[in-house]
Amino acid sequence: MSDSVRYDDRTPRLFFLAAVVWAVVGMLVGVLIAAMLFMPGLNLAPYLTFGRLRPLHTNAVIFAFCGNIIFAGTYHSMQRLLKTRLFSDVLSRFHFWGWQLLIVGAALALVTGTTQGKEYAELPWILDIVIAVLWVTFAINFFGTIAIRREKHLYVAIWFYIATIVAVAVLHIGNSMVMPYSWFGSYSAYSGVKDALMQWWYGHNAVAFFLTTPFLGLMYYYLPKAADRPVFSYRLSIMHFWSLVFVYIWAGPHHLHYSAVPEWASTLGMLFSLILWMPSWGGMVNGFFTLRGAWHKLREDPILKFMVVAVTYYGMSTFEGPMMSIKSVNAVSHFTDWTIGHVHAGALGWNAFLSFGILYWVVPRLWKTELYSKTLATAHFWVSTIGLILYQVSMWVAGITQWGMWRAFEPDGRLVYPDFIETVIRIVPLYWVRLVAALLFFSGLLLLVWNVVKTIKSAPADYAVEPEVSAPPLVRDLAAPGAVTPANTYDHALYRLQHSLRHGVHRALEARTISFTVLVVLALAVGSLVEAIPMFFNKANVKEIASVKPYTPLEVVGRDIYIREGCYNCHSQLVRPFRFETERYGEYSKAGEYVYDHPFQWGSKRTGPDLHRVGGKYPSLWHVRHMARPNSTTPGSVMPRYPHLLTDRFDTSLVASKMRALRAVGVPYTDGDIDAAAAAMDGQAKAITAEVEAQQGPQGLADKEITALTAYLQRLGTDIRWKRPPQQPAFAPPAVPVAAAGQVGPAR
Amino acid sequence: MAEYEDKVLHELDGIKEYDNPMPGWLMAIWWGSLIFSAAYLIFYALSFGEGSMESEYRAEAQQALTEVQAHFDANPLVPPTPAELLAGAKDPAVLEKGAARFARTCASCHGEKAQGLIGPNLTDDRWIHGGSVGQIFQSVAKGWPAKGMPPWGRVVKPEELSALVSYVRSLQGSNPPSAKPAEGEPFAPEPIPGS
Repeated sequence: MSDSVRYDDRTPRLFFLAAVVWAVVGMLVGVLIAAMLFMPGLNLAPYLTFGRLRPLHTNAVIFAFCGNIIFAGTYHSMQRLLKTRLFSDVLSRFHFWGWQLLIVGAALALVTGTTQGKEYAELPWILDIVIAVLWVTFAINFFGTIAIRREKHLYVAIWFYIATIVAVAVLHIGNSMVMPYSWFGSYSAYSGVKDALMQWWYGHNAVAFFLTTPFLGLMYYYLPKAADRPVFSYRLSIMHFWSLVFVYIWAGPHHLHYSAVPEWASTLGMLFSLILWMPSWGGMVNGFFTLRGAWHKLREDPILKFMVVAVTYYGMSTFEGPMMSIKSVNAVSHFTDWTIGHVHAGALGWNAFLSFGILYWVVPRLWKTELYSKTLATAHFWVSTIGLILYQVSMWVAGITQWGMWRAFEPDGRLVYPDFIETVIRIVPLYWVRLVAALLFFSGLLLLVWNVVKTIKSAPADYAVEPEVSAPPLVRDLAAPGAVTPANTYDHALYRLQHSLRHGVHRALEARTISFTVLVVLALAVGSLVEAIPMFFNKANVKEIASVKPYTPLEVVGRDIYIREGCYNCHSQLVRPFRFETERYGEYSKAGEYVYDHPFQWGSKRTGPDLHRVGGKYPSLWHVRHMARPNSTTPGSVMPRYPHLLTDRFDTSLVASKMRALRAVGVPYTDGDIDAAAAAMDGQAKAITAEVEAQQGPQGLADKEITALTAYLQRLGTDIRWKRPPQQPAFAPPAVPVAAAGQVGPAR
Repeated sequence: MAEYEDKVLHELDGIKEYDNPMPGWLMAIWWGSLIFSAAYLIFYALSFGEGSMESEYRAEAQQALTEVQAHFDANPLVPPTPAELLAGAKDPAVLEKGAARFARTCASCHGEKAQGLIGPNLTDDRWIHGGSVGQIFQSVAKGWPAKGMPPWGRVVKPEELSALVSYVRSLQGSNPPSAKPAEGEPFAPEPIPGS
């Protein structure tokens, strides 16, 4: 074995460049949908509507931009931390090109409405398999590199990468369990409340293990490098790494307070979120205190500026998060723009800013040149920081305003703002502020692109020559000095154990990748299993309601249209047990009502009103007119138009496969139901269109998508009987004039 | 800030690691959150079934009911008389208020000019649920939920409800364009006093 290695810097170069490209794409879509929220005319149905572009935005910034940064930074730093070349050039290349193709495929899937209807897990099952293959590729390349390392101990950054790889694999597989009904369509294996729990176990931990742990790993490498200061505390690294990995996984159900998920689960979610405060802040403290003695550099160095704001925002978000997980605070923030502000504080402030800092530091080094312009980078910093602050403040104010308006009652028990649209129009000025904020942040990004391009252009011709570093191979077998005993004797084993424990248990663990990884898996498993097992095996958690029946075939098709158009991005299907919600929407939602919902569609944001009790609220013609032109039924509406629903025919060819897939995941359709599906659809569609036509609505909608969607909407929330609690005294009628009474027909 | 020893423990790729102790305040957050959570969990487990979100909701609804009842006891709800409703049909201030509410609440189903759309035409001389101002008031306040007409008495302010009925009465015989065919029983409109 040679005493030197050559690093593969081509792979990180490619990933860093891809990250920049996808950052532009993802954030541009973000700017567009920020504008769509109050300028509905920007929606171009069917492909470019808010409901389809919002998942494109989230997937692009998380999995394309941040994903590429993670791969780039991991591959770049791990070679240096382990003093070895990446395990396999072939795997690196396959991983790179595979991931970029996946992103293109994902974008196509999302704009065509091919979605699983679960937030941050929208991609169809076939792409989920591609993700799994690529993630395994990454894992093999990563652990392979560790196996051939020439540095015995794993640095803290590597611990965080290990946690990322293991956890994301488990989360992705756990939440993507579906029953396909076609090449691109599928139904979640879990129903209703269980699906909600799985989804937010996944969703919350995607934040944990895709946006937190890998970026902490990157911070632990690039921050001390950029500041040229030692890491503050090794002990703190150990403490906050293990507590973070153990505690984070429990916190998911805090997304489900006051929902139909049993209260014990969301209570655990809240408490573990509070406990998560220290483990999260451990990273911030280690980041900040590493800068002791380097603060003066901040004045000059845009890279450190980005990194310091990133760590600050990490600290703020991980404080705001536990606060928002407290039930009474969550009652305010949930379903409002406050959540959007919180997410962006983390995503823009922490992930993007840290990425920008890393890019400015790494690009000149990878291309063996100097940064084109420090002034441009500083300008980028200030423009984006102002955008960031405006973004957060506008969303806080919007969120609190909307909550305040939703819950306002008159003394006589009426809602002050009974029309939901009033609460939307009120926050439009704040949406303007957010759009300005988004544009500022995006212009900062364009400055980075310009700077990176000019820097790369100034690279010397030989920039691609791989650096050669002296690194002697590891001597694995430690023989006691002078010992001649065979390596397998008891004494020798004892000696080796003593030797490895000389610097503490953890130091010994850092030299044992497999044991380390197994412990990470165990830490992740505890919280996951404690929360999931009772949900799946204790029936008391989802009380059955006898009157709740499976959807009719037409409603199944309509529900798929609801999912395809991404309605859940703006409408919840969950009435919380608050007086201000039951007064506005009707009876609060029960777990047993969702047992046939594959996937659940509770949503997480109310840009429009809740829809769980919309069934029967309006005549069917109202829905027809509303989808064609929302302004015609709700003046001032910001909802996109869906005229294609009135002209496109709904798909009947897949109905039998859909029902069979649903049966496979537990919906009790009989063979008879499936055989009679076509007739049942026809009958229900005709009943709806008869009503529409009787009210002078458009003719000939019986085979159009709008009819299937209307069937679904009219079914929503109607399986249980409920009535509004009494509130005001009967409004006694004025006496009917005697003269007129005789002319009146019998009252119904 | 406390002084730290700054003893270098390891070095890797030029990155040194100090072995400083964890800040006391950070450990206080850790133990504090753990103790709080344990206490909360015990409290929660002991009050199992009570103090849960359902019972909180019931208490909230009950309290609201009491408060609203107290409000109505102090300010009894006096329904308008037919004479008042008819008088409103020629009072410009009332009509303006009624028209504004109609545009926001009723126009989406009955048409901007009450010509009928999803719901029936309100300008002709036939009525499904009775055409006296008193009956119209009833229909608006209580609704006909089975037929898609929501009860607006819980939503619209009492004085706006009256103005709305006066406004609808004022539209009688207005003959708007593209009116929906008449439905229901014939009803001769009650006279508006003084017109």
